[in-house]
Amino acid sequence: MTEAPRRGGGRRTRLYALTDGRTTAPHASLTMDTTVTAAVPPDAYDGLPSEWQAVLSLCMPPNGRAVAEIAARMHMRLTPTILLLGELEDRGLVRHRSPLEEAETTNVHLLMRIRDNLARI
Amino acid sequence: MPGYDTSAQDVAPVKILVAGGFGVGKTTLVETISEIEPLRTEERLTAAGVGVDDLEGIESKTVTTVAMDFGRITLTDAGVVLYLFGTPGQERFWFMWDDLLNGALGAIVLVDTRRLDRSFPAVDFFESRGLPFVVGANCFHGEQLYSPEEIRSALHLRNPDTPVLMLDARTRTDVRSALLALLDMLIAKAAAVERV
Ligand SMILES: Nc1nc2c(ncn2[C@@H]2O[C@H](COP(=O)(O)OP(=O)(O)OP(=O)(O)O)[C@@H](O)[C@H]2O)c(=O)[nH]1
Ligand SMILES: [Mg+2]
Repeated sequence: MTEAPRRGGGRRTRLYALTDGRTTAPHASLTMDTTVTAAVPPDAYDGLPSEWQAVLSLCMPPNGRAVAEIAARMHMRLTPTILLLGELEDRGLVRHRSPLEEAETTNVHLLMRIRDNLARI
Repeated sequence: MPGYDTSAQDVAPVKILVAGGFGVGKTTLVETISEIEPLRTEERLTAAGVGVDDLEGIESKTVTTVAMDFGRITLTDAGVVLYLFGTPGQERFWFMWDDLLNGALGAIVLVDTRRLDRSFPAVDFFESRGLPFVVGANCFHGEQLYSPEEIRSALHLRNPDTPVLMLDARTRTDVRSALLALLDMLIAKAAAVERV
């Protein structure tokens, strides 16, 4: 296998096509397992594109939704969803919570709490 | 209005992968344990060509849409939401996909003992990347014909302590047991590191 691209060349090509020539850098902080939450209440949605409103109503606080879940429910692929969410975040309409990092996910106390909670579901 | 301010920290996302060969029960497993109806997330991946074309120096590109299963389990007391990703069956594409692996707690590798070879790529992949995993032997024919030891040795698992569990991906308690076995493994690993 020749150089496995981290962010495939095809994806970049497609992004370029999708955004109509606009070279928006992909939002590196938004991954499929990032949780996105609306930062504004529904009465602030007036005048926003209907696609944005649909996304915002999907990710209401307190729980928000995973990027992967928003993509699935919007019937969009992951990369265009990330672009869209990045734009919403730039405008202050959503905020995100990144997945825990390795230093945290290898914390024995956190793992035990997860285990105990899983045992009761 | 509460909840819309930036101070609300909610629950922290964590991720577990469900992998294994074609038709081994990945979607079923995610469906069984998820608190929401199963969802499919799609992404388009490009693979650089390998094979005959290379002999002529022609680079071919294959563009494929891959679909992942998505499920979640909110663990309020633990302060986390556990996202489950059922990885696509076409391993040759998810091999190239680091985003799937980054930040994952660990994985469940499903195997069908009638077609063990189909799950070799998943085992190799997680072993080479150092992602902890447990093996779930999906008992399609009701009774499992092989013992965990036989499955372990047939898979040539690098870590001889890797848990191998018999399960039915349609049964909630079985799936939960597999997740608990994975967590036990992660806890033991983290405790060992802490003691050093
Ligand atoms: N008897 C039995 N059947 C199962 C079990 N798990 C899954 N199945 C069935 O096996 C078939 C394939 O299961 P899926 O969950 O779709 O497998 P998959 O790994 O997602 O398949 P692909 O995504 O196509 O690779 C389905 O018809 C399931 O109902 C199991 O534990 N026991
Ligand atoms: Mg499937």
